[in-house]
Amino acid sequence: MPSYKAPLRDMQFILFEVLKVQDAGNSLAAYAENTPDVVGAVLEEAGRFCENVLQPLNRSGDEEGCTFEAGTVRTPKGFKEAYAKFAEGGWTSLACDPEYGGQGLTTPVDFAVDEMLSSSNLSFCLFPLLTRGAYHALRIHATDELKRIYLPKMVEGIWSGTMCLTEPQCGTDLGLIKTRAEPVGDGTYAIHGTKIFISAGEHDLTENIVHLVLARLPDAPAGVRGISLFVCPKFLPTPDGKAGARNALACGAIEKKMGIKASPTCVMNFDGATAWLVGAPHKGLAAMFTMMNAARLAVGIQGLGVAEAAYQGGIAYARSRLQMRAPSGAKYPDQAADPIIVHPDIRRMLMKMKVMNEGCRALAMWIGYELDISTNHPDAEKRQASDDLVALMTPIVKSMLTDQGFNAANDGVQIHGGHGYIREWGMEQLIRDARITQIYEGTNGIQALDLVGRKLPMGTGRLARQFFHPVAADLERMSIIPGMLEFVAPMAKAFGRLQQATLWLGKAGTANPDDAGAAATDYLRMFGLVAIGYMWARMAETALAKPGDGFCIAKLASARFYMAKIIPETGSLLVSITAGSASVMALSEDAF
Amino acid sequence: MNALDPDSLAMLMQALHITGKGMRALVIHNEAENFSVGANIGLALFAANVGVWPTLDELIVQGQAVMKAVKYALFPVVGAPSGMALGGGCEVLLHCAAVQAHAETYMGLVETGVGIVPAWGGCKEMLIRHLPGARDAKGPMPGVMAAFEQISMAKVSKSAADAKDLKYLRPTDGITMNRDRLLADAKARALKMADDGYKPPEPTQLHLPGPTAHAALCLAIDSFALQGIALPHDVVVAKQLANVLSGGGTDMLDETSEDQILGLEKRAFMTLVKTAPTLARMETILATGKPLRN
Repeated sequence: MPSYKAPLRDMQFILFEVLKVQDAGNSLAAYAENTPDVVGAVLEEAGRFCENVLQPLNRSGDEEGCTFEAGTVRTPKGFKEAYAKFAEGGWTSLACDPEYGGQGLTTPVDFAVDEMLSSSNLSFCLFPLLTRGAYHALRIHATDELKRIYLPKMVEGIWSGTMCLTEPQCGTDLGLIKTRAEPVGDGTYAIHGTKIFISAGEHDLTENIVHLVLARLPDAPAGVRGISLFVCPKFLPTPDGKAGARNALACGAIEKKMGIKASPTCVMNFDGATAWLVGAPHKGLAAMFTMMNAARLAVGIQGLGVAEAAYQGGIAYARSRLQMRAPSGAKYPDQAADPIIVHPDIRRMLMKMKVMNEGCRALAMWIGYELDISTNHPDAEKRQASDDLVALMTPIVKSMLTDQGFNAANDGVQIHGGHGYIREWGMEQLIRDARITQIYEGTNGIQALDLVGRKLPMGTGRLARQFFHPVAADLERMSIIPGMLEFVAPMAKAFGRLQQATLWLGKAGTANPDDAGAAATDYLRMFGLVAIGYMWARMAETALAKPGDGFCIAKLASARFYMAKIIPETGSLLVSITAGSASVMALSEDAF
Repeated sequence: MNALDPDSLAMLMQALHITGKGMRALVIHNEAENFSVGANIGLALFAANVGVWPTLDELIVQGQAVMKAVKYALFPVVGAPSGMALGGGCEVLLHCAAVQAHAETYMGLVETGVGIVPAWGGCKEMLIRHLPGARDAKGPMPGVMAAFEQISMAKVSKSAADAKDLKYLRPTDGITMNRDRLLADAKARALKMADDGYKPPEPTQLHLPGPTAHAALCLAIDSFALQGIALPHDVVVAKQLANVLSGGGTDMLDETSEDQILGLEKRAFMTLVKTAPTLARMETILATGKPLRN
């Protein structure tokens, strides 16, 4: 059974020493209130809750799973009580608008708490995450009346939310949606249709479940331009805002699946369920997409959370498991064998997990910070610049962090050897849980296409400018700082490769779309490695300023590992990217 | 639209090499509606957004090399434009030994509209075209002023005849009324030039007024800005152009070579292409087809 300790020091190092978010107080009101003391207290308390309440339920939740009986779903033992404590502790309202009862914390702090939730219990994490997604969509697009009814309850955590997009015949291609919304004549709509893969579509944790449903109006144009967004609660709200009569919707089944077994994945049947339009008719997809950046970043954080849990499990096992002697001679001659942490191949895996986790954390927090600037900064130009950067980096954060979740869980199992493959040590569950994060909220393949096919060409590279120009300038600035050359030189080489690959995509990708499609995943990884490398350069710069601090000494060692062992991968990725699509597309379909 | 990119420049260079191997002359013509609307701004903008400055630098170096090769070819190179010949397209024609233009040819150096200056020899050639003739006022300033006014205002000729008035075409260049006859006329002109014992031009040594002229032009630019005629980025672009056309740090008594002016053009281009307002101008023209006033 793995234990979990929230990486509070690293989180605070990134927030207050690398990103220096406390300096944003003049332009972003929320940051003025999120002082290091306040944030430190929040993170510590969140860490305690995750370590003591959620993590102990992780394995039991996985083993018991959710149960479905006659349209109702029961969560595993202990989840209901844990959720009650979670809501009571105000954890559902952290980053929500104070106007609706939220605490107005900043996105990077929210990310830090989400990471802890994901590390300790990914299944549990999904309930509040889905609610927050629905909350954001309603807050931006719903009428004041709808906001008044739903938002305070969702912020308080006594009503939860879902996002009902997928149908049996459509997943990635939402233009194929069939669910209908018929106007009733009193301002409401009757929803008819079936949705699948609905996380937290039915459960016993909250008084009411607020479904956000994509459906077609009778006069809707075909394709994605004919989709509207509706709010459709399990129980219809009474005039005084309470959960009233049961709506005509029901859970038809829950899926048997690979991981996140304590999170019910539901088939939802809508049989004329009463619903209200959210936003303009036929603009539902756009409404959903306004929160897509935040939702995709949040899924990335889930991957990071699992990766951190795998790292902590791996390090604990590597310290305690005694096998053989170190290749360079016994390190613990008084023991029967050395702990396996002395072996270079074990250290290779541990170092890779550590530097990727810490780099991914820094990258996510930076982009979370930019997300806040993009929505709240008083200067419109700064908002636009940050919005461009967040749009560009969202698919990268989502994919890199969720890939890291799976890769770290895989290494975690490997470090444990046979013990990783059995349930007792909790490693195999992490692999099963992590796997979905690479799939939902847009598969990582779709993220890569989004980056290459949409984000790069947008404004003929305008979004890319918000990464390339400041990073180039920052690397140049760092290059003359004593001690930084060993980090800046490999980074500059990788950055140059990324520029080369980007330009190649700009030319070849336009001439032959297959070239862009074949290169997309490699390109996203290359971009991600460079972006994480940039964060490592920034962390190294900060750490260099504190020579006697043990934490900073470890940071510098980690940064060296990243530059020596991870960033060179960009070289092989460049070769693969610029090789084009000929070898990918050559085989005829019937030869497979 | 025949936008010029590294591949089309390489093609032109190859054509010059092939012609040099025993052919008598080269005609540059195409049958599309427009001769060329200039450099591929999309490619330049993407490279600039990604910060690949060496690629942009190479684009300028390559373009300048091709234009020089056109100008100093040992055989006559005749341009035969029709429709729009803008920016880089205009610069190709400025370097030709002669031009046989369709009457409806719209020529101009419009680079300032997208926040840059002509950098494939356009500034240099216009300085040469505006060298004072026998009847013009003497001294270095009138030519610099005329070139500055023309390029900074991105003047486009309304016809081939108008292009002669604006000196985009020489008085000796020909005009063809019937578009179907254009290529034949251009070919005939090229062959006649070859038959007449064509000799490439000698490089021009200019005497440019240097910093004094730059200061004077900057005063005028500031005055336009105060009147609200020039917007903030117009001022930035115009001052870069003023530096190129006045010859940078040169002195009126010194000789300024064509290559020195090309160096100034490149430096001004690279400075401007790194500015956000120039990139915004490029993005807007690509997205909307209309210039951004910023």
